[in-house]
Amino acid sequence: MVLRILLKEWRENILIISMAVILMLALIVLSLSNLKELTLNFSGMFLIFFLPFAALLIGSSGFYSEHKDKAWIYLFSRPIRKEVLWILKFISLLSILLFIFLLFFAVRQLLPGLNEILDNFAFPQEFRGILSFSMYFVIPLIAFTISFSISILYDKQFIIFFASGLIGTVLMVIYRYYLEFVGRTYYYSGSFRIFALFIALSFILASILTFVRSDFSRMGKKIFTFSKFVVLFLVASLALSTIGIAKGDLLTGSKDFFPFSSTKYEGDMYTYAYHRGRGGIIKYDSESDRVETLNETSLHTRSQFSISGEKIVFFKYAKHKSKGWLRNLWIINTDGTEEKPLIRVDKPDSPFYSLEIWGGSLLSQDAKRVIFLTYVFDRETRKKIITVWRMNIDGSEIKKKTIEFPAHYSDFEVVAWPETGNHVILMLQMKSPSFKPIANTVVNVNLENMTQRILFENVIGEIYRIKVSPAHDYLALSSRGDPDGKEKLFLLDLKTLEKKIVFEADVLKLWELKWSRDGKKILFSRTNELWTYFLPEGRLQKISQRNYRHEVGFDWLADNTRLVLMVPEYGEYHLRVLGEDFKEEKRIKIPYPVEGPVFAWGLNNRVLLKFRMGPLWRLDLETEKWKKVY
Amino acid sequence: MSGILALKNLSKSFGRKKVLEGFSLTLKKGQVYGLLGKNGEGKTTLIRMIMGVIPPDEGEIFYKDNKIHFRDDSYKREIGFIAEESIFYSWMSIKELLKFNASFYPKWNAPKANEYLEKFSLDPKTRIRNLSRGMKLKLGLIVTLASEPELLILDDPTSGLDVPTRHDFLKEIIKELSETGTTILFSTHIVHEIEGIIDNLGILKFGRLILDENFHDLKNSVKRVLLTSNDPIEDKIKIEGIITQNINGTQCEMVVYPWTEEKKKEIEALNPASLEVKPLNLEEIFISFA
Repeated sequence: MVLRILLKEWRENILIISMAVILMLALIVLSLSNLKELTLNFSGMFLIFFLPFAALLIGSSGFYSEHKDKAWIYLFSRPIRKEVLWILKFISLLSILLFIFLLFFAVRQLLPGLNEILDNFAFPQEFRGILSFSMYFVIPLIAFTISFSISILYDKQFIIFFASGLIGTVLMVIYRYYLEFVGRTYYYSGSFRIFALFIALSFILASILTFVRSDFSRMGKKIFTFSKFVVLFLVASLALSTIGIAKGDLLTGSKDFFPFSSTKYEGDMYTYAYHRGRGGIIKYDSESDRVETLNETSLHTRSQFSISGEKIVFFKYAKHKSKGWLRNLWIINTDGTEEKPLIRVDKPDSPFYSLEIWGGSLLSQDAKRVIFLTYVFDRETRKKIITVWRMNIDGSEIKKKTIEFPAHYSDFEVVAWPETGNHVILMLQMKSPSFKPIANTVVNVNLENMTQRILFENVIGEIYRIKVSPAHDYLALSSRGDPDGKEKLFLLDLKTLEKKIVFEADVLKLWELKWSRDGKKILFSRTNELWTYFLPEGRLQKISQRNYRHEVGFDWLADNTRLVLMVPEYGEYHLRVLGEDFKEEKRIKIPYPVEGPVFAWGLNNRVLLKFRMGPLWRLDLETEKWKKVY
Repeated sequence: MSGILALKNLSKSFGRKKVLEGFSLTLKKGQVYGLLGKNGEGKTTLIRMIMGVIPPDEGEIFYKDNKIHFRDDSYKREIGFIAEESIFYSWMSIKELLKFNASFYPKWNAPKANEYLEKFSLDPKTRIRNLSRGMKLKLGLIVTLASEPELLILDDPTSGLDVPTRHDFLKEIIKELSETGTTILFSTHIVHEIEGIIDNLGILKFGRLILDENFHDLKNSVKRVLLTSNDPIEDKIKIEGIITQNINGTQCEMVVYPWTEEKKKEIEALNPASLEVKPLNLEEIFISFA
């Protein structure tokens, strides 16, 4: 029966399937003929118009043949549950849409040149924040779901087609402005996807309930019943989204993501830990054992804040008149005072007006200067022009220089700005069509003559896997490839740019790396092993730990000798404190469920622990008392 | 309850129009039940409710003593349904439609479907959109027969068909099915075609079942009475059970139900000049009641 219904729906949509195949053939021909601009435009048209169009068309055909031949009477009198029938039809038609998606992505993957061209495809500026990935997949899926769901209501397919398009657009625009109103930003691609799921579920549930309960022969009553359900579910969805935005967890998958956190050395104590939270920059004071939100802002990009001295620089979104949401650069004291903008790109009277700040920003070691990047894509030369800006934090001595990078690099980050200040280390990232990083290159840019030198190719992992030493004199990263194909953990001397191999293996699987605060040791985990490297001696030591799992947290403690790490034992997790020579000093049972990775920060005899989906816990190592601090 | 199908107090309205009201009926196993009613009296609505196509506003439906709900589907495996208009997916070929149907019915009898295809001279490759009304009816019948139903529900299937096709359908197939013990609910407004087939008769009027009786008994208990008086008849004759009454001068023609010896005596007490009592055929019964 499933197969028969599947075949029936495919047969009924043979025209749209053929159209997709023809378009893909045309894309292949264009790509092979090396007409890059045309290929880009054609693919753009396919993504922006054809996929949603096909989705609407397939969805609106849902019950068209049942309406057209009055075959719903025939179908309903067959021995099949109505909800099963609905679901089977939905799945059958969805499989057609997925086939078209797969066709597109298969063609894209099979033609290496096409991938590079399509990486330059830009979404409309206004929706760039929420449409980046959604345009590919989520929006056609919503369009399909809405049109299929309402296809039970009326027999005119073209009316269903346009009504669904309209409903989808209106809902998206409402949500777009709703996010701005509730969340103070539009930049919630995660929440958009969740809300999209809510929209889809609302329509699915309303449609199934109407289909199962309502009299199919009575259009008016059907529409009324459906509208009642869909409004109810959409309101519930909006309420859930609001709770989600307020809580953060639901929409982003975690309340805060810690790898960007940093600790601040105060005398001989590690007093403060900073991390980015949904509401702004969060500061944990280990003396008062309290968490303080330093500023009220939304930080939702990888570009974190930078702390140096008593200053923190960070980004805030602001709405530009024509370019939508752009990032301004702000500065604040570490005690939360004197928050002010450094760079305004949204104000017409600002010298930085309309610039698109890209990648991170770093403060100098003396906290007197700041460096950041802006970005322009030159369509003619197909190059990405990065402008490196340097200035004092009082806004004086602005210096800018540009550098070009090939178009296939889609992301740029400032990794390190060594003490000398005359060169900067950048990470360039290539991404796959699904926005997964596929290759990372670390380059050194000489800020005097803007020459670039590739330091590492095939760097493994995202930017937060690259760890700069506390004194900003070394950089630890892992890379694979030449000359022997092995994966290696490197230390890069930021003054001399000399590389040193710390560890190598066929597969490194480095998960986490922590510098001791004196910069003399690193602790890293790989494939269920924990290692430490002593920089002065150049010595590597494996720390044996029974049942150790590499994705659990660890960190050095304040004295740079002791360390804490989590280990699972007999279905429970324990935090172990290792002292000199890595001998166990203490073992504390973790009384909370541990799911997924855990991040740990050692402070002055206190440890901060963040389980992926949970709150931020503080454990006092002396009293062994736990406290939920955020 | 006893009976293969029992309907209790079914009601259905479309807007302000009440199509069925308090409709109750019980079909016994092996019975051939003729449901008569004029167009728009609610026959199709009733059958669609039984088939779970539309929900009743009130009332209950029982199949083999089990209450069935609007969402239930398993009972439909044992019910064959031929609708007023043969409604299928017009783009399908006959072969595709049969395969499509086979997937729904566990007792699907493919050899029987092929046998009837040959018998009705239907080419499996023909698209449904190219079939005539009669051919569609035959196809509907093949679908129904191949599903080996215990209960066959026919919703005015022969209206608009030519006489030979109707004859084939009624005399050969329906009779054959009834002889094998299949229960049949035959709804129609073409009266004479079910005469000789049905065991029981029901007449639907204003959404209510106004007659529900064994057809043989009914024929004996409905009589046309022709009364002639010596003087002109001025007032209507008031006797219980007169269904219709036409007065024309000295003559009065009545249809009386049920016709009993007591009623005969009551009429004879009026001292008519002459009294003639005749049986009615099905069409006449229907016209009298409808």
